[in-house]
Amino acid sequence: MAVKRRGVTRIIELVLAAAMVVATLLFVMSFTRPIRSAYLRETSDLRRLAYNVLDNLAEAGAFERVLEPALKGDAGWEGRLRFLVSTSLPPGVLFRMEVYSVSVGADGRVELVRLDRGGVANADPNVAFREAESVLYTYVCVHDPDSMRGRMFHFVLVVGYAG
Amino acid sequence: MRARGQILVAAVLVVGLLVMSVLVTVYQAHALFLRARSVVVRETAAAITADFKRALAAMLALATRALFNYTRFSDFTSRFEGYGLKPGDLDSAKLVARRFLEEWEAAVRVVYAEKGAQVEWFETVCALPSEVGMGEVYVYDLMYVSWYRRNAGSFICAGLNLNLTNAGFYGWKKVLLAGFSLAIVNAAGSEVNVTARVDNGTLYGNLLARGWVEVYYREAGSEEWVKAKVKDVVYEGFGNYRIVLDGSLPAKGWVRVVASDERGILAVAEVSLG
Repeated sequence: MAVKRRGVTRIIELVLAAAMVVATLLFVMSFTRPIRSAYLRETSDLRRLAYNVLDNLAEAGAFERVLEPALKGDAGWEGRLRFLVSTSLPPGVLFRMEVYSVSVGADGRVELVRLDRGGVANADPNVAFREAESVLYTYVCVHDPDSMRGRMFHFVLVVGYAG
Repeated sequence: MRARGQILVAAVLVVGLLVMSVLVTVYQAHALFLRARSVVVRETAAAITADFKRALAAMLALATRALFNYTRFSDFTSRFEGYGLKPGDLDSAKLVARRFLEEWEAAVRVVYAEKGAQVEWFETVCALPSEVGMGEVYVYDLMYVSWYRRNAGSFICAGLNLNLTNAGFYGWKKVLLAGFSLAIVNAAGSEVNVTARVDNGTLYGNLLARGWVEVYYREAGSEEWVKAKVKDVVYEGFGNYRIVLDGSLPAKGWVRVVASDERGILAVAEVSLG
């Protein structure tokens, strides 16, 4: 009888140990399952959103029309681009955009000249972004007017939420 | 005996925890790999490829505009005189395009330097889609321009190799064909019917909104092309346009339709009348 009791005790111990292992496993899995946590999901979405905005503006030929006055020295182009980007983004999303003109010298050296003065943004410079995403974009002008066709630009668009 | 049971339980627990920690680590590493590879690279590669196609289209637009009327489009063409562009010369336009694409390559390397971009464009051969109705034609030597016929078209073909070394992304290769084609379906009286397509034969529906079309005619026995006054252009769907002229075309002679897509690529189709 004593031997039988010891055997039952061991079986109970094993069952308990297995239960503990399973419980621990479930506990750990519940932590690891949302590996794409809220933070990661948000930034992925922000990145896609930023590319979508730039692609849509490119497809519509908006960059050519906005940047042509910029090359002529018109100061109002930043406000127009800010308006275009603002209306393409959902409410509550902050952005900052930098615009560079790209030229390549005869020696093959690439020169980036910043055109904006920080005015293509809907957030104050001292506002810290939370869950922000920055995307790079090169753009060869293909749409009207002819004076813009074949020109190269580079955009840096940062989108995010206020911290 | 009781002590041995406790050791057994402890051993099972330790082994279980070790196995689980390994599983979790592997899972996290896999998730990190997927995030780094599929999300970050996907949009960047797509953006660079799309820009390469824009560069190709811009160069084809430059070539076709220099070929058709260099002076009229001088806002565009004159900026590339320094590259060696000559009026009406397709070969010089090809050289300009090659130089421009080299510059584009250098710019992309600089802009995407943080991603370790290695980019290289190359010339290749593309078959024209059968939909454009130009027969079995291959685009080689960068550009192919076939005008002054019922089915006319302008095409450019090149490939792109891309690595983003800092994202562990290698071997992206894409062959791109950009172009614009125009077919005169019918021309008689005061109407001309045309079909427009872009790139791989996709029917083009933006000719009115974003492009433009002009009609010229020449009477038999005359050397002078006359620009017809277009009264109305109606989009009939599936890339088909009905151009209504103010006045009639001559009974015998030739009619020429010049059209531009939104990217500035020209195609010039021509048929005889009567």
